[in-house]
Amino acid sequence: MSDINLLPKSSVSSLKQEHAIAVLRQLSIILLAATAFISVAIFILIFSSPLTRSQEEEKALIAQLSTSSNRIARNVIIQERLNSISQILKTRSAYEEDIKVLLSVLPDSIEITKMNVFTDTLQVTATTTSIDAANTFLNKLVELQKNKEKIKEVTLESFTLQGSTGEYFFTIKMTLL
Amino acid sequence: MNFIQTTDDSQLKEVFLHYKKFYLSFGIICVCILLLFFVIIPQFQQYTEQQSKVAEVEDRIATLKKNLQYVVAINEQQQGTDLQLTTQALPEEKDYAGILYAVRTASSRSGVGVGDFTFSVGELSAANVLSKTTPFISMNLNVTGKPPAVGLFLTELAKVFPLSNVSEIHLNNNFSNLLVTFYYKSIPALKVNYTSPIMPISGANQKILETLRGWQTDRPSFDVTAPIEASGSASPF
Repeated sequence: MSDINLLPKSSVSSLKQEHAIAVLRQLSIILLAATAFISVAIFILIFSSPLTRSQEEEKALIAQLSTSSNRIARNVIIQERLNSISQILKTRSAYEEDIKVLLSVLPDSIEITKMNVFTDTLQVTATTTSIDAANTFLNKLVELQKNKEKIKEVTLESFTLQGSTGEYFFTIKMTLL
Repeated sequence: MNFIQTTDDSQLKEVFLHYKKFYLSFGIICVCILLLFFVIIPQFQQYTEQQSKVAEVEDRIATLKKNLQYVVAINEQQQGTDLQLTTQALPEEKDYAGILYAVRTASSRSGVGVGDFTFSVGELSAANVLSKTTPFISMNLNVTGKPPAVGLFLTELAKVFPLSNVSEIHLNNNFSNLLVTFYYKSIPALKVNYTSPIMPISGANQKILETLRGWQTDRPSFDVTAPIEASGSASPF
């Protein structure tokens, strides 16, 4: 058994068209409403943004700070100079400390006649009448080198005896740490 | 194509009337799409840009508030003293009087005698002064004294202003020749930027300030021509 459509063919087509129109109309209304809502919402968000207020606050703070520009500038200068001073203090040589250490192990009977200090090298020429004192001095220097106290390397460059006076002359070269 | 070409006006009118009810809705949808692309999306972009601007401004405000808080708390008198101290330690220009005073002070404290001295000023161009590295004046100085006294002289010289560095020592009996460099640094042109964070003096730099305070001496107004125990030959070239 098959259904019999009693409506004329043109009426069926008209009903489909009406339905399509209704769907399209609803869609257009929803879209229009959504567009209007989103647009108004964004407009309100933009309008109520605190940007202008914040910018005004920023200007006011800058104006307040500008009255203390001298303090800020002085702070920058002090910082900058302290950084340079720090660099100088870190990199400058402390030969006085090296000399102090050298003199601390120097027996009284030894006299330094020549001393050259440059680029982490300390060269000493000394004289004494006592070979024991010279030996003690050299041993103490080697001990300092072993303990890595200021001295990296010790080299005895020359050791001579002046027969007429009985004086020993010796030259030591030290590489400083 | 054939259809259009063969259709007459009445047929076109019929088609138009047949779809007439769709036009309004279709038009509204088209307008909405256009509004989406030409109004809503740019509006949204504007909003997001504005939000990021707000965030930036808020950040700057936070920095400005911190800066203001720090600046208000600065003790102006202490700051002035610190500035004077650092400028004495590292003068803004070649401070010959300061150098001579430093040598004299170190000499009197250590008991060495000061002999001849020569300044090697180097290049006098502005580029040298404004270079990033700390500029310096070299001084060739002769002193008389035994090694312990020379050692003490070096110790004392390290503690007086302007700051210096002894790079070479040549001692022969009681006569020593020293190569000393005295540092200075010009103050660069400053452009204060209020929105960058103002850094307080770090702990390490506070320690340096303390050290410098310990080394500071009351420097009298020093007459360069006044005799010190030396015969000076200051040659800038």
